[in-house]
Amino acid sequence: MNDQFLSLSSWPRAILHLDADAFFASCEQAIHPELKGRPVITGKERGIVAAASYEAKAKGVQRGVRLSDVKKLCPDAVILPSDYETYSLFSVRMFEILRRFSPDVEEYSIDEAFVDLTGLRRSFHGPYEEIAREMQETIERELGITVSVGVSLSKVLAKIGSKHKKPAGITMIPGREIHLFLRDLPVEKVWGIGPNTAAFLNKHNIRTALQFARADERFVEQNLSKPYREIWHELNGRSVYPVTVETKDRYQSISKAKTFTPASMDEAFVFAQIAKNLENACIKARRYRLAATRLIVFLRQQDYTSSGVELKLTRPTAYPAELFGLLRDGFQRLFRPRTPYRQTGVVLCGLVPESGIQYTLFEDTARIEKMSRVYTAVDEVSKKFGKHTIQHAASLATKLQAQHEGERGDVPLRKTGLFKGESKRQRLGLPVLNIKV
Amino acid sequence: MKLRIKKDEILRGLQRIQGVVDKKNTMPILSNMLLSADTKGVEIVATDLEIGLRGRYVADVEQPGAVTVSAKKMYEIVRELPSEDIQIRAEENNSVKIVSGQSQFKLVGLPKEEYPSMPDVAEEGMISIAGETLRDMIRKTIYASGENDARYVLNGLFLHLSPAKSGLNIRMVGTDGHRLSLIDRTVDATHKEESVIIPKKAMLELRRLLEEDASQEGFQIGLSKNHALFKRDGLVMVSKLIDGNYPNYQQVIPAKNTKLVAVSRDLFTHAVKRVSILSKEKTNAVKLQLEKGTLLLSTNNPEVGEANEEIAVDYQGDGLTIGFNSRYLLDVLMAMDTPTITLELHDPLSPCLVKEEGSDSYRCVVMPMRV
Repeated sequence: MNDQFLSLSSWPRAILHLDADAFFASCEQAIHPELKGRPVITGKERGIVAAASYEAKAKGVQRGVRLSDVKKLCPDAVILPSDYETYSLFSVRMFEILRRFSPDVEEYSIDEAFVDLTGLRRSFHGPYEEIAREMQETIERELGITVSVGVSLSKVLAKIGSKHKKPAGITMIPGREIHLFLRDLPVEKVWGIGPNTAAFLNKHNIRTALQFARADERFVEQNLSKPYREIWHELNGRSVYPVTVETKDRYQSISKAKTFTPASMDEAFVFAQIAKNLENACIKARRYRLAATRLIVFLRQQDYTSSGVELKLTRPTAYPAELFGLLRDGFQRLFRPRTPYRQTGVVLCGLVPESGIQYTLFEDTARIEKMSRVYTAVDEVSKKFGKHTIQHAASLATKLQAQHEGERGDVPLRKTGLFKGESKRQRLGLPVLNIKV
Repeated sequence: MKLRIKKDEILRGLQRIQGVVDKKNTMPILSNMLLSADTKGVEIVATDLEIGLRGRYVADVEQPGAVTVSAKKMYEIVRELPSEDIQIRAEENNSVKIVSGQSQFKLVGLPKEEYPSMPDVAEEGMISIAGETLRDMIRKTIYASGENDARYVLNGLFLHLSPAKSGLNIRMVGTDGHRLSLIDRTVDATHKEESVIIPKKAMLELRRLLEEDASQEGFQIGLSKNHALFKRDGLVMVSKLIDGNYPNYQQVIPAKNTKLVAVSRDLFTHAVKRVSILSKEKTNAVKLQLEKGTLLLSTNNPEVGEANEEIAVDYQGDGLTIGFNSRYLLDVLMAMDTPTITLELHDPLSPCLVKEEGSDSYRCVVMPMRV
């Protein structure tokens, strides 16, 4: 039974998943050519490994490991502060390269993308594998980073493919070979299946992805909710999830959270962090012309236990000044003195279009309109001089105290070596090659 | 307990209590009704601890007694019974036997002693009001009251009694913070000045009772510290009051709006209905552009399309563009009764006052929306 095909036709659809190899570390190696071939680690400002190059991974360095432990494992590692600006510039260029091959590119995360290749063999005059290889080579030639790709009949299968061989791998999973790739894959490694679902499936004696794919349709219908039924179809080579091209312009909710190191017991500092989360979430909401009707506030302690509270707004808004009172209430309910906190966050939910805001009887409409003009001005200033040029006093502490201890000393090169006309907040959108001569 | 009752008679009683019994099932007995029989007939009682309803019905009682069974099941059974004559009798273990024609049902009940009793409200200083007047007052205000609002006082209707020159003025107000509706009626009664907030659910149930029969005689209203009592022959409803301060509603009713528009209610209603088909689902926004002699209604939904309609109005002032939630407008228009209504406007940020032609006793306020 294990040898039975899951799908008879080889390529009813061809979906490619691309995953950059050790993306942050690879970008650093690309702009610092002298680091090629050496173990590179990013995340210095956070004190833990954010990304490790394959050279470092070979020595046993993993994501999330403390930097003090890294020095024991790999004494010659080059540890760098994260330079998100450069990474996102590389990311944009990578997606642009993909679009040369197919218009259907879904930017799934900073270093991952799905591309729909269906039907491109004709115009390309070659098999799908050739297209994938050419993509990979173009990215390596132009950006100096390597990527791994998987091509299969559905997004879930393509994602299995891109993980199959890393780094710089190409894995083709045609319909007739699906079962070979699923045979030894634990079911919890499938995209979208979490520990709880895996545990549930294990109880029904489903341990591998293949066992899940072969599960009876009735069993799947009766025991699993829609997202898992869809994964089941995808594993069987029936594509359910489309490659969604548009960049997201519609949101159900907007969340902003940030970690700071070391953890803090200082009430004013922790509140400033959450106030800044709220400012950021509101900026995004205003950019998409949305207003929230509910606000979720959460705090995470150093031991990773978190607590949160949901607050109902009397009127949809995206103006922090109107929400600080409520935020303060929620914060006070959650905050425990003498408890170290490492992360704060807010979620704006129940988003409605800002244009259709219903005015209320018991609040001062003129004041609300004035607020809207104030924030329009704040957003204008931000556009010109950078985000948080004007910020609320509530979040001032985040400006006075660094997000991460020692950050002052560990600024990426891009932020120090400015070109003429650049400021700390506004720089050219170009990655800068740092060559030592 | 043993009795015979006509199907129509008991069905009327069972229908009345369906809205009262608790559907959330917090306490099993609250989804039950209490049926008690004495020599004069039967009484059917239901309560969710907030509202209580007690009605008296004609029956041929052979043996007095009381039972408590599921109000919903009892209603469903009686509704489907084949014959006009129904026999009900208590059996052992609190259960009840219902027999009609060839059908027999046995319903499991609970001990009648466990059924919560209705609060006693002293029937002093009762106010008489025509059923029709009370019904209209509720109908014309309840649409504006809040629904599960965090400001819990808004989830009720505000009732204000004040002595007037010719009797007693009764004012009813409902608001959800977006719109407000206020009605004044004078009745022939005396009572001290007093105001209470009555929960929306109680008012909805009361309205159902009032709508049963338009020709019915007057209702009596009584107030105690914590309860309101509504009463007529053979029917008593008691409701808890909402404890809290009602917002200062008088302050938000515009008094100096200068842009006065007279418009046909029918014409306006249908225009809003048509134009709002293409309004954005989440906001229901409709734009009104007022010019001398005309009102232009329009909606615009980039994903679906746009709609425009112009209607003739009696207006001589300056132009004004203002947005409203079309649902709020329709609610007001439905609640009005005169063929012509007056809109009183000021600017796009200020509340709009709507009145029936030639009368100040019914006033509706709608806040605009940003368009």
